[in-house]
Amino acid sequence: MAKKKESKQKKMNVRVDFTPMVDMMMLLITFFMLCTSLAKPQAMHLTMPAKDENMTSEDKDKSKTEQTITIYLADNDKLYYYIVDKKEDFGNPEFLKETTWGKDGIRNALRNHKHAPVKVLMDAKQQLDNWFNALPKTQQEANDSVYNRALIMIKKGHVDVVSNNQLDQAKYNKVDKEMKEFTENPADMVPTLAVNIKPLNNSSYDNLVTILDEMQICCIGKYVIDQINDKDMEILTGNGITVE
Amino acid sequence: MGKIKIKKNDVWIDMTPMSDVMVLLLTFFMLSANFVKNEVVKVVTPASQTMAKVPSSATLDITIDPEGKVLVATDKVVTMEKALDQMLKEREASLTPDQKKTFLAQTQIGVPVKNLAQFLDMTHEEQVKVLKSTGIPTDSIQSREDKMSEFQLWVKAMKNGYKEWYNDLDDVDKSGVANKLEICIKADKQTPYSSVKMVIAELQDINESRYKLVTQYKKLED
Repeated sequence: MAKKKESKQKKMNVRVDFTPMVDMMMLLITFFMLCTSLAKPQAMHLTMPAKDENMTSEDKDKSKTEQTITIYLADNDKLYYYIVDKKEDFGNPEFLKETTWGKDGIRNALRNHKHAPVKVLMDAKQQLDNWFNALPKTQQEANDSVYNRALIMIKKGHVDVVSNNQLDQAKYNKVDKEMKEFTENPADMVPTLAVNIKPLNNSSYDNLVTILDEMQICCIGKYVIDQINDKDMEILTGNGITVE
Repeated sequence: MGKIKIKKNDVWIDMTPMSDVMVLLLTFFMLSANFVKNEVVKVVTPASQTMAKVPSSATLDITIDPEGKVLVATDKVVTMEKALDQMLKEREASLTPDQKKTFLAQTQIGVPVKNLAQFLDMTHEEQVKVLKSTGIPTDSIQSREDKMSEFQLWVKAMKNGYKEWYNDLDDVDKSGVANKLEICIKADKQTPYSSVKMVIAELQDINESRYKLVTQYKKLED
């Protein structure tokens, strides 16, 4: 019998040196880390009324006086608000109140407004958020438009579209139909606040953005950035506030 | 004398796991990257709790610095090219092809059109200095019948330029592409309201009434 030849395979060293590759990777990573930004900035949407010469001041101001609040942004981050119950009283300097930024100041004033507290709307929005966040992820995308539509309804004063942290589907459909046909019954809606934001020329852009943000937080749908007029001047100078 | 025998250790380190991690990191950075535009005039935007993001393309950025100087920029080079041609025609100026090339490489536009040729011939350091101190004129041009300002002309030119480019696209390519430029106002925290008011008023004059205010995210305190 022939002797079995033992196969003698030559063993090659298969270790590859990865160090140069790691070096290169490090370089690339450093490049990407330095030259890119991860967080994209946020965008706040703002729509200003288009210029229309035919619009009179009466068209602009359709809200009831007692459901309106005027906010003045002044120099040095100062903030004032003005609430009157009767139209005739507008212009009287003694109704102007100074307040602070944040939840104890302006947000509190908006939340607890005497005739149109936004507290009710904020609660409704909280319930809507709770409902939406409790949905499984797959359904959230499908319900995105429903959420946005319901939020508009709440901002208009239909706070009863939510109850017990649930969306009331029957109410939602009813309001949706009414909104499309413009047949909403004002009796179904809670009073909503209208806000006039009047920044003085010496206020800063930061203040403007903060107050617009406050409108989102407080669920206010009716707000406008307006110019200072003669009546406002009376109020402001009556309180010794520098306008320019 | 007896020789001291130094024991030789194998110092080979296996780099494979490290390289694995590196590749992962690199992939992450490459996918989540959006490149920082090297803007000359930088602003610190105010904070808000808005969650919506700035659109990643088709934006018309209007920067207003703390002194109230206005600069415009767009992320589409095609739009910039078309806008430039229109502006040169409007303001009766001209640029050499070389100057045009330098112009398209700019990240922000912030000098009056009549100074553009001179500006583009400068060195980069000089350009930075000029950009930081000039800004696009926002006062209305008296010789024009419509009394538009150069800033308004730029906005219009950019909008038209983008529209032209969009209309020339094939229908297949149009899906997923924004049909108009989105105006993003990027102002500094310290910018006085009067400057912002003026810019917004000028935009309203040319029937632009929807803007995005660029902000940073801040968590709601409660």
